[in-house]
Amino acid sequence: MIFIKMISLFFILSGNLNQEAEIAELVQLVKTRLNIESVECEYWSLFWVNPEKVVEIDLTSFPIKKDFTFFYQRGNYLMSRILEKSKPIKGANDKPSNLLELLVKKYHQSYQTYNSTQKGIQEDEIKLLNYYFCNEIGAYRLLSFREGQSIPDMVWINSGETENMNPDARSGNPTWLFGQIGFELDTKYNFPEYSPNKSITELLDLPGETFLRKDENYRILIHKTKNPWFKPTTSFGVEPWFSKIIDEYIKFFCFEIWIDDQNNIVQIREVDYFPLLYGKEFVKELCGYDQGLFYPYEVRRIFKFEKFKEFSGGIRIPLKGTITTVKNSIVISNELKSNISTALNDKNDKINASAYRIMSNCFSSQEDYFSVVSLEINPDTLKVNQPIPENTFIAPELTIREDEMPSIERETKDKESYKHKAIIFITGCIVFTLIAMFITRRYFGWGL
Amino acid sequence: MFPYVYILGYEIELYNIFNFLAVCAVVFLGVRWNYRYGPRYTIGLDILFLMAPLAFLLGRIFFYIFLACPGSKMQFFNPERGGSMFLGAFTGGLFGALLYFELKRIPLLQGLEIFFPYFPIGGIFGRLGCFCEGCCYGTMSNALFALRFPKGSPAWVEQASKGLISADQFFSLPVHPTQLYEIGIWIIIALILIPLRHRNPRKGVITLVFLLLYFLNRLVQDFVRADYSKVYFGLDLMQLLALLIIPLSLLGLFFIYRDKWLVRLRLL
Repeated sequence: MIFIKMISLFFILSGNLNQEAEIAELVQLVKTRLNIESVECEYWSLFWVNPEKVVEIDLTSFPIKKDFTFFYQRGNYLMSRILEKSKPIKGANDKPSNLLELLVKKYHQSYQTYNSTQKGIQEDEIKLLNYYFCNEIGAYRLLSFREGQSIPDMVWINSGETENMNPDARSGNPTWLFGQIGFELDTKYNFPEYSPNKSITELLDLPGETFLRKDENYRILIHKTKNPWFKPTTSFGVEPWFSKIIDEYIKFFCFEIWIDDQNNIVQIREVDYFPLLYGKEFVKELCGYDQGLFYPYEVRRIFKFEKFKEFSGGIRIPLKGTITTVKNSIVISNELKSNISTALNDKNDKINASAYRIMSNCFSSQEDYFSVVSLEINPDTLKVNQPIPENTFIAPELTIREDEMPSIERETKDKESYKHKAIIFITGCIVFTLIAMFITRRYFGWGL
Repeated sequence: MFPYVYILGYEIELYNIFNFLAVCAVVFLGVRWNYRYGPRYTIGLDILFLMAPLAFLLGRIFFYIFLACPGSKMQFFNPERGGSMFLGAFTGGLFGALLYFELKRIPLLQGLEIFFPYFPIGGIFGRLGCFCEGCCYGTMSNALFALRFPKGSPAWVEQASKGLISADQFFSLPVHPTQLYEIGIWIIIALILIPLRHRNPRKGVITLVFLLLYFLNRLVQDFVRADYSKVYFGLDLMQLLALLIIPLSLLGLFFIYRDKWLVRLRLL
């Protein structure tokens, strides 16, 4: 009997040892694949939202595609987007074929010149929107260059905007493509703290637990750690009872790495497995079932990668990535705010935040998307581990005061302009009517 | 085609100017006829203060109810966005006029029929506004008279978003210039309605003939309109409405002239 027990113990231990060895091997593989010091590339980003979940945004302007140039080196990066470039309108379908089209084209060319003058765009001028992230501090700049020049003529930020905001936050971040993930609070709430991304290799080294799960074609490495970005949300002015719920959402950071049979990292998911976080017994008590360590769960973001390009040293970078935000914790919680409030009141506050969180996912570990960002790198422009000058990541000093800035993307001023336009038009109509009324009454006796 | 004019350094949309001129033209010509040849009701140009705002408001409301996509409904109060729908503007103008007649104690139908023959003149101005803006455009066509609209116009935006043209092309693919077709049709309607009034038709005839002709025009024309989505049986909202209004107008005309018809029938 003792012999049988010893044998079974031996098998269990050796099984565990085998699994630990496999985990160590996979962690090493991840570190090899992402042994990246610097990256330089051009990429485009496409962003869209789920119309059922995001009702406050005008969906006619989506999806939005933007083109960027990107530089990264040891945590610092620069994302640069051409905003406007003065160039004549060209195209295969460009030649006027009759007098009307000629007139239309002349009119639009003069309108374009007028509009450019209004916006302060000169001939051969390029305007860039740059976001610098250097030594964990972000800064955005609008820059105006003459074509061929390397030093900008003007550097400014838009009126009423803070220097460290990321105006292109919705366009995603290409560091996601090489395993840098992070904890993002919704920009809608303008949380002042930006949480810089951390590499999954760094996150794997943080104290916590690592598990291995196997799917049909994938080996899945799961790591649970304390959320390294955690800051109590009360410090952001969130109401205490609501903060309790939110803090529960962001107390732990749990993610998984999917590795395919080609040893490519094909997917990363920010996912909270409740039995892993809160214990199987607690989940069973609330949900009434025990389905192992990996159910129920809540996925926050899914990073899917494809089209890998290999570099020396076993580094592989995906040329395409699709990042789906499944559950934006703050927004979803806000949607559920009244329900949560009711639930807490009904239970006389006996139900705690983690229990509420588990219960709301017991039977609905849903994965409806909230928003999607698709990033695609131009493979011809991709360079890896080639040194980039450090000053690339340093935001240039502002050269003009706010009140002198050009009018590019000046929403406030544009709104003023629309107001003025409407006032001029309505006033014009009223004055015209009053004059016509006066003349027709005085001379024709109309309306008397 | 030519969306803006520059006034005091501001770009003012020609579409709005033409729409205002459309209402002015209808009112001016109607009031002029009233005093020269008509019943001389005490109607002044102050009627514009009721007609124009209501026409603008209902035109915009109808646009956001029937034409704009759901996501853009919050743009209702944004003067930069949106548009107007003829049916709404027509209904708004009608309400404004009825309100004015009620205040001035003018018989409602007779009052309205002072203006109806000049609606086509307003329609011509309105469609000139559409032509400048590029809205109310037609389906793609290789016909000789098809026109290409410039970059930024609604036809260009639709074709670019569908990938039919690239974003660097200046002109759209040729489309039916439905705005110009309708100007032609409005001229024909005016040539029918204005002489009709001189023959002193019975009360309500001008209104019914106007509705009949306008909706006949829309029933046919909307087969080449690209900006209205089809609702049922490949027909858009205006065509479905036309299928209702045309028989009702004919029935109304028959009812008004029933005595004459009956006499003719008896003679037969």
